[in-house]
Amino acid sequence: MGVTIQDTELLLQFRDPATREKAFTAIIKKYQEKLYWHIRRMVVEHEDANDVLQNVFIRVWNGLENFREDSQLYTWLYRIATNECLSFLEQQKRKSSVSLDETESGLSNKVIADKYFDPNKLEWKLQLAIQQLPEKQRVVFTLRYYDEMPYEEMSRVLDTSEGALKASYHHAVKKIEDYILNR
Amino acid sequence: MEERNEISVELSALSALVGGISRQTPYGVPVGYFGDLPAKVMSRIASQSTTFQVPDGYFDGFATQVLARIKAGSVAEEELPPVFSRISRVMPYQVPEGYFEELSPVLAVLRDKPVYTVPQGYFDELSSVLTVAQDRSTYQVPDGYFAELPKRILETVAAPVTAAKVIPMRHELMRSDGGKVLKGHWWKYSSVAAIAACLLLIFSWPQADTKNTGGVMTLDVAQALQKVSDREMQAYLDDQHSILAEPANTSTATLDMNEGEVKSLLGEVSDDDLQQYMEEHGKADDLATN
Repeated sequence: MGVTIQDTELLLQFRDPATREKAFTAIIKKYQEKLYWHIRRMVVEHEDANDVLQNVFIRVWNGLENFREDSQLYTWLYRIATNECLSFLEQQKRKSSVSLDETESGLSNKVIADKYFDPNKLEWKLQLAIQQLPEKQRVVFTLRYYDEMPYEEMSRVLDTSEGALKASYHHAVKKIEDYILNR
Repeated sequence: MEERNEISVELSALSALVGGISRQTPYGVPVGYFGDLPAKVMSRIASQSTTFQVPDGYFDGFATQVLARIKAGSVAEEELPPVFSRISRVMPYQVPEGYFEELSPVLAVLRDKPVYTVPQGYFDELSSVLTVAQDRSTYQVPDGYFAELPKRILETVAAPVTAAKVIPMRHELMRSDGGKVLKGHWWKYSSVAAIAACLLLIFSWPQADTKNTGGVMTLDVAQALQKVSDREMQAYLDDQHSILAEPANTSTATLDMNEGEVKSLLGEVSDDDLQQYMEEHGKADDLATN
């Protein structure tokens, strides 16, 4: 509840030209890490995550004045970040002119290329397993597993029914388990 | 905390293996990244907003300024920046020597020589032909035609109707093998019946000059035919016979019927009628049957 009040206060400050930049800096500081990790799990590489995250905040700056507050700021930010991630991945696909499967294997290669990658650790196997998932299931799994987002809120972020989200999450967990056991 | 427990329970139920994996994301982040990010984002936002700047109130007076300049004429020379005064207006491009001297005679020849030519005196001759044609209509009308035309029309309208026009037909029916089946008077009576039917149709039309009986226009055909004498009827039929007797290739309508069609046609005639017809016109050469 306190977080919601704080967001409301930040939004009030943002609407005042005198305190706009200060308020926006506070919003970035508050949400940058959460959004960064959400994006990073989707695009894998830090440089890509950095580009996407900066674009997300620029979009937020341009749209925040018209933000109607009929949803939480947190939900709205995740929605923008998810859309920006999916757009980025779509652009990558078009640039490389490869199929979805090849893109997923490309993301796995990026995981393996990380300087901290350790194939014997389950955390890394889990990352490889996540990259095998279709995009929608990947988003649902990371929002639920890492961000601990309730289905109700996820439904607002992804514009999908809670039932469909539960089914996606279920399929994702089963695929991940299968991947870890058989690789 | 409650949500987290719920998620853990849900995950453990789905897969104990996945539920047991640490939720720590193994990726690394450059040192100080999150500390610098707000400044970087704000810097990008600032550069985005300062890329194209317009002075305050620029668009408010823009239309007035443009209209004022349009009224004053084109852009005055003195309005150009001072640097333009130092630049010569001579074009820096070069043209091969004598280019225009060589080019112009070619153009002059083309200008004086039209591509399409007309025979000499064509238009003079053409105009005289047109003058004659103007005074002379292609179609000729007999002298006094239009003066007499109203009178002729009135006479035609006032004249009593004596007989309706009949479509001429061959009076002989031919068998498919070329042999004669019927000839002569049988068709005369058919023609009379057709004339009677036409008269009935014409005079039963609502605009016709007939007596009105209870809102339905009718015509007493039998009464009308009684007024026609036998002699007039015979004379009319003789005229029709000469038309019907014309060769087939000049006839406007021919009737080629085979044996079956003739039988079918005669099948509609009652035996009494046939008997009466045979008594009246039963000469051997009038009717050839098999």
